[in-house]
Parts: sequence; structure tokens; C-alpha cells
Amino acid sequence: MKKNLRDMRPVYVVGIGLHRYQRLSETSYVTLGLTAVREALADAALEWRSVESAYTGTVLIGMAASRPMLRHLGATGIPMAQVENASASGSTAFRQACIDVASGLTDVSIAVGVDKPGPFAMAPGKTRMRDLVGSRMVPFTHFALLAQEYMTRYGVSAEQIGMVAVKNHRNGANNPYAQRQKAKTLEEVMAGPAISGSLTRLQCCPIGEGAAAVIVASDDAIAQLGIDRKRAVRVIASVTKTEQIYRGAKNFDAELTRETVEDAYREAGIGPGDLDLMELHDAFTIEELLYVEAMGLCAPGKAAGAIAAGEFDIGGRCAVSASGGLLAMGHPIGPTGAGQIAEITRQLRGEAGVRQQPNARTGLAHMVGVGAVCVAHILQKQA
Amino acid sequence: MGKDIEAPFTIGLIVLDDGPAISSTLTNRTDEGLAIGDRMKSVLVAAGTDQAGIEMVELRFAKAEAGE
Repeated sequence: MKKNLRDMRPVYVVGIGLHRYQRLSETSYVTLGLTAVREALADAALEWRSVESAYTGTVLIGMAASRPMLRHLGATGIPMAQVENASASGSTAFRQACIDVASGLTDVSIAVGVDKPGPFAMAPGKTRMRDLVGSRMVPFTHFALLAQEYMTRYGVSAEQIGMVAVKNHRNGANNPYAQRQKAKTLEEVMAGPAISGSLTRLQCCPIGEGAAAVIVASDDAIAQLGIDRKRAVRVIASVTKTEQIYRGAKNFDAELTRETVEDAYREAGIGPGDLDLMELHDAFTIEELLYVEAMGLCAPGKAAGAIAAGEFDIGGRCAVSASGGLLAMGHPIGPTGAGQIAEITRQLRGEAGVRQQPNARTGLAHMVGVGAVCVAHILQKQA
Repeated sequence: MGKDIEAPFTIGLIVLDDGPAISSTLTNRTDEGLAIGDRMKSVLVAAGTDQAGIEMVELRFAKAEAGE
């Protein structure tokens, strides 16, 4: 009989670590990744030899990235694999680590995300089947079109959409791991330079380098290895889906998110009203509006008003992108999804400092990958 | 693709009569009177020749005239 993560052994996040997201530098991916892994091990008070499997989410580094990085911690012979799932690579690596622990294959597993900017090699361009647009439409054009359609449909202004960037840069200014750590006014956001349609540079995420690591463990491991149970955060849902054909003139980005997150709510036994915080795929400002509506946090066309009212601020009813999100924390591709899990874990532990969402108990992480895949995880603080 | 078309050009989201929405290159431009909500029709546009010299066509969408 088919099972989901919740039907198997409980899985807990017990260690998190990051290397700051930043512009391309001379730092090797090994150094980036090891910084995050060592921080996660220290956070969990674990030694590397306790880790029984490793998944590395990476898109741009190249073949067989894990072992040249992780061997510096000890050649323990554990299974390692690279996970490539476009922007959702880190999220998918995390899901694989959770599955290992939940199924009983391991008691302790690690998901690492690490990447450095480089040439993209997109497989859809190698199918020898031309589509109707091809490379004439880069991602920001796709989202500029969605922004235009949203403004026309709901009577929302470009400035109202730009407020997403103001909020997320404000949050990023308080995140030492963020690539963009300066708050921005609406005037600065809208001043340009223009990128596509109404989208300006600060409404598009920076793609830099960085790393994130998340260690997950079973109840047995927590007991046997002396892990601090009070700081362990349970993973109560893990769902991933791919794009279908959507009728009714619905855009696939929002529809894929809606059905993926609905499954995650069902698995977790919660609804959108139970979420205290959320990290979502805000690569472009318009995405935050589309996704919070698709996830049921507000009615269609109402997200801009909710943002203006502070409902998605830290301290609001659901803090959205308290880390700064992709817009301010950055989007180094492979690490991004794992970094979201780190932020939610930090928040649910109550360790987020000045960007702490008060009384945070339940959080959701959401990533999409080249529009065709979606991954959602829900984490919950244990009583 | 991408280097075989002269800028500026217009990309649109086309809602098909059967329901799905697709992205396509348009023959019209937004600064030529094209607006969101206009009814569109599919057209075949010459797209050069392949390596064997065979003429190729490309599917695009154009603004439909009244009654089309």
C-alpha cells in the first residue's frame, strides 16, 4: 500500500549549517560545502562518522561533486549521490535524506546544497523538438508576463508588486547568510534598471554561490547519540510533483504549487491557517503573490493587499520569506532549498534573533524547478 | 532558437479554446495595438531552411480579425 513520509518513522531536523550566499568568488565549492556541513555537525553536536548517507543538491558544479568535498571529513564509505532537480535540487536532496531515515535505511542522513555560478546546460534545449518560444523567452520574461496578466486581472499596480521586494530585502538585511543585506525602499526597488516588463533588478533574485547543509535523524539516533531533542524539528510532510496539463486558463506555476501544497497539508494534517512562516520560491516578486494565493493564504487577487497590511511580515499572521527569500538571501540554485529548511528550523527553534517570527510552531518550505517540478516540506516544532 | 528573430518581438500567453494556456511567439507587437484579451489565431511563418535546404515553417499566433 502506498505510504507517505508521515506513515513511516518520524524524521527530525537536528543540525543546520550554511555558507553565506555571495557573488562568485575564488572560493572552491569544497570550501563552501564543508563550511556548511561543519556548521551543521556542530549544531547537532554530531561527528561525521555518525552520518550514514549523503545527498548533494547541485546543478552547476559538475559530475560527482560529493566525495571530493566530503572526503575531507573522513572517508567513511557511506552512500553518496548528487541530486539535480533545477532550482529544487536542494529541496529534493533533503527529501531523499528524509526518506532514508523515515524508511529505516539510515538513522542519520545529510542533505547538502552547494553551487557556484557557471554555464547552464538545459536539457529541454537538446530534445531536437522546437517549441513555440524556445530561448526567446528567458525566465524573467515569463514572470514579467505573469505580472502583467496579474495587474490586468486584479487591478494591482506595479508598485504593489514591488512591495514584495521591499519586505524581503528588509528581512534579508537582518540575515548574515544573505547575499543582499541592505534594506530597500519602494522608490529604490522601482527605480530600475528595468529587466523585463514591470520587473526591475531588485525584483529578480541574484544568482550567486553558497552552501547549505541539513542533518536529519530518527528517534533512535536522537536517543543513542545524545542529540538535544528540544532543538529537533519534525518533518511532518514531504511532497513533490511535476507539471500536468491545466485547463481553465490557469498558469501552470500556480497550479502546480496549489496541488503540491494541498497534498502537503493533507499529509501534515494541517491547513494554511496553521502556518506561522513560509519560505517560498520568490525568484521574482510576482511569484510570491501567485504562490501565497495558490497555497490558500489569501483569496485570488488579495495578496498585494495582505502584504501592504503587513500580514506576511515578521510578526504578521504568517511570515513569508523571513530569511529574505530568494530575492534577498539569494538563489545559488543547489543550496536554496536546503537553506530554506535551515531557516525554518532556526525559526521553529526560536533561534532567529532579530528576524524571529514570534511563537513559530509550523513552517512550510516551497521550491519550484524550471517551472515543471514543485517540492513542499512542512516542519513542526514538537511540544 | 532565439537568434533567428529580430528584436523587438512579442511573447504571449495564449489560452486555447480547449483550456490549456501556452506560451508562443506572436506576429503582432504590443505597440501595434495588441492587447491582453484579444482573440488570437495560429499562423505558420517561414523559418528558413534546414541543412538539407528544405523550407521550414514555425507556428506563431496572430491577432484574429472580427469573425475569425
